[in-house]
Amino acid sequence: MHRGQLAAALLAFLASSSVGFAGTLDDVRARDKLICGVSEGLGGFSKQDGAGVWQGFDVDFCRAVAAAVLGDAGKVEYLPLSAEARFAALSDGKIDLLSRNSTWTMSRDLDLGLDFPGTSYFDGQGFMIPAIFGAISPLELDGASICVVSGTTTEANAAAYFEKAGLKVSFLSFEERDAARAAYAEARCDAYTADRSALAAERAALPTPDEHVILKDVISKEPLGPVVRDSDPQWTSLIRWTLYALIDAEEQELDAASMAGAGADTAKAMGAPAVKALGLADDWLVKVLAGVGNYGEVFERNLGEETPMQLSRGVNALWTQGGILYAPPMP
Amino acid sequence: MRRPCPDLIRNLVVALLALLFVMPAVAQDRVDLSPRDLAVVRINIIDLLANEPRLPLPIKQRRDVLRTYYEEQSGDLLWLNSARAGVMVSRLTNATDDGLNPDDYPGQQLASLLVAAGETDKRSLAIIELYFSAAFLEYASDLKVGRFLPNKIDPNFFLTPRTIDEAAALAGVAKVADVETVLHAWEPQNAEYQALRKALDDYHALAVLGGWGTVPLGDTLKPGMTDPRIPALRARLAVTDGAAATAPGEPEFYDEVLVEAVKHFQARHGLDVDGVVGPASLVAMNVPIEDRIESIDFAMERWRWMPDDLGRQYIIVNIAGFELRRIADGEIKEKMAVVVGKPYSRTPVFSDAIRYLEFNPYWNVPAGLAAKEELPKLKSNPAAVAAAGFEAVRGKDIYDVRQVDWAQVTPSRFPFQLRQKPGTNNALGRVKFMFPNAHDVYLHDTPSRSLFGRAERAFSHGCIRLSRPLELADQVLAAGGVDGWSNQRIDSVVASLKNTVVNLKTPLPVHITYLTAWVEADGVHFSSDIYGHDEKLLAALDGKSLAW
Repeated sequence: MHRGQLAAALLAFLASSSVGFAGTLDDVRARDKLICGVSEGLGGFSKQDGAGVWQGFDVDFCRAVAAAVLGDAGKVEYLPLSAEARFAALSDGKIDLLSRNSTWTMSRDLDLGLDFPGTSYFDGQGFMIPAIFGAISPLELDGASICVVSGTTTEANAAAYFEKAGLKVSFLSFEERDAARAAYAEARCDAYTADRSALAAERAALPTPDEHVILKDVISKEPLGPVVRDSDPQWTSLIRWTLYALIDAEEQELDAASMAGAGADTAKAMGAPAVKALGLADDWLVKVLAGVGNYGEVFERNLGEETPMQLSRGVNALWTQGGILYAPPMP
Repeated sequence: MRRPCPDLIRNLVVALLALLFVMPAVAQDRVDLSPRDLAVVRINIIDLLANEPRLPLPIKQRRDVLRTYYEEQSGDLLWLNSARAGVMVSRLTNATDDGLNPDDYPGQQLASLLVAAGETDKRSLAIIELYFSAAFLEYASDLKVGRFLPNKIDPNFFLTPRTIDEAAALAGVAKVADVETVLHAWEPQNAEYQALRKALDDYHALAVLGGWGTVPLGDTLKPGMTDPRIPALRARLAVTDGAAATAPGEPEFYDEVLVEAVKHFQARHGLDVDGVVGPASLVAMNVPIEDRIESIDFAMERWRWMPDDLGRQYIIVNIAGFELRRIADGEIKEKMAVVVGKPYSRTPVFSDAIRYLEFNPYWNVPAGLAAKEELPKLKSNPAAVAAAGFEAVRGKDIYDVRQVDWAQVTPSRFPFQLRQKPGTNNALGRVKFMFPNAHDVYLHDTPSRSLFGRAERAFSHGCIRLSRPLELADQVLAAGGVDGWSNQRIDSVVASLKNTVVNLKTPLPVHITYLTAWVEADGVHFSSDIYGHDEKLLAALDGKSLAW
């Protein structure tokens, strides 16, 4: 191949591949706004409150990235996306970052031209049942009909689980979560299966949440985290280290309040490598932590025991506290 | 009868669930109905069970047995119009008394249904009656056979999963007015379980009073010493081991009375009974009462997994306690120390029956062990292996190991069965007790006597080594209906070094168990969780599966 042909082929490839975007960071700076893909409304993760303000664990991650890049956690534009539309929206350049309870799997990582910079929430599929059933394990659900949302791996996971256990169950599939929840609330099915974090949100949305329990058993691995295009390693690094910084900050006991005092110097030292390499402001991590708090604060505010989600840290505790959150060291 | 519209029942269940939420929590322990209303409820119950495709899961799962019961029985209902409902609710909300978790049972929800019952229609009352029957069956089953299938928790448990006779359970409720009496009958009836249940009450009462304090870590405390930690030691043992709450003399002096209390504690915890408070004793003393209660809960759950009928006489081995007992007619006839499998070659948990004894047994070296441990010795010094009593067998031929060209033999090409002849060095000692099983586990003597002096005795490859095998042989032959075996005859057979098999006329049941808590005359005994089985049970209760 002649050099000219090669260059032409390369250019053609660039044009046809899902757009260049090598400079997502520059684009965000130029726009002075981060465009973040979120869910269409999942309590605790990304949902608009009564005043139309986006709230949640995934939303706070968008805010953390905006604080890191633009120095202001408020400079985010949210784009609600369905499960089907989310990855295409990212590939097509409609969003800079997908922060929408998405499971990191090998096929998504390799087939879609996407990168999963890290896991922000270790989830797993579980079951919700009425408390009056008195069951403690999904193995007691023989004969049950189970409500499930289609279009994800949830039904297949559950079907495989019950088949292996030698139990007969039936599924009632719905395209929308609202419909599935309504069917469960009307006792059209005996149980509801979804990722446990989603179940916590669904439970909170039921008319009588206290009359329903989420079984402790987890039947799948669902590592949820932010997603970016794989064509921009610099941006991937920025997302990865924003996530790790939230976790490391909790481990170092740096919280939002401490950014007003001596903690700011520690945060600056921790974040120093990103100043030169990524061109971030030297106080980027101070802005992140002042804007959203550390990982523990983000978790407790959106998902914790004091919220309608009532989720405990569980495996999402720091590795030093019996969990599996383990961020590489900074700086 | 009109087939009910599914929407109707659905709405009804939803309404019931909604009622649960809005009804004030007024204590109400029974629902009274007129005979006429009762009859309508009965008709609804039978109609629901016969015709309603969508019933709440706990009822749906038991549809057939419930339908049979309610169709055949014509008198009172079981729960409505009866004080039983209130008692059932309180039993579920007090499930901790049974070593179970109240959060796992719908006690609160059933209580709310009782409150709601006064306000609802006959069809809802029918559902309430059925919910109570389903909850009763669930609880009776959990009491009788446990919450978990043993092998789902741990592949080292080879106990047959059991179920209860639900029809008999329902019929039993109808016969006896007092549901406590009914439920008691569904508990394991053996003395060990009942003693644990009683001990659990005592420990719960102790826990309410605050349990016990800790003894600060530090140097080993020996009798006769004076130490500032002695008052804490005395206070700790005053709670469980009969130490005087206040010292008769100098408070910091380790006196004789306290030594006795320490020994009492050590005996209950599988420690060396020497009155010396070293690190192991301190650690055991500082285990919080909640953890001890958990051990009792676990032991009760494991008893529920055991066969209903252990046998009139039987052998029971507790792996975690390193002890074997022989029981006859409910009495302990023999207790002896045993050595069990190492944590990486765990003795499995199962029940079987001893069928024969073999005096002066050959030890057939397992192939893996022969290739790995014996082959290098055979290559380097066959004479030493021969001197230890080993010979090589191929087909019907027996070879002196000194005459085999071991250079030709490799671990993957090892055409012999290596075995050790009867004799003083034989790995199985003078006798083995066989209950042929898939795990190749049996009871046997051992030449390694010194291990019985250790407090923790997990050293074998899985078999159970006996501290006093010949005494047990004597007893097992008698229990197995074999006449004419005096001690003298056993001794002379052993002395002959001749391989001798004696079949039992009546197989003797043997139960290999794993219990980290049990009750003796001097109180509750606890052992460490050598195989980590307790940890797995705890994880299962928590909805996790642990790798093993």
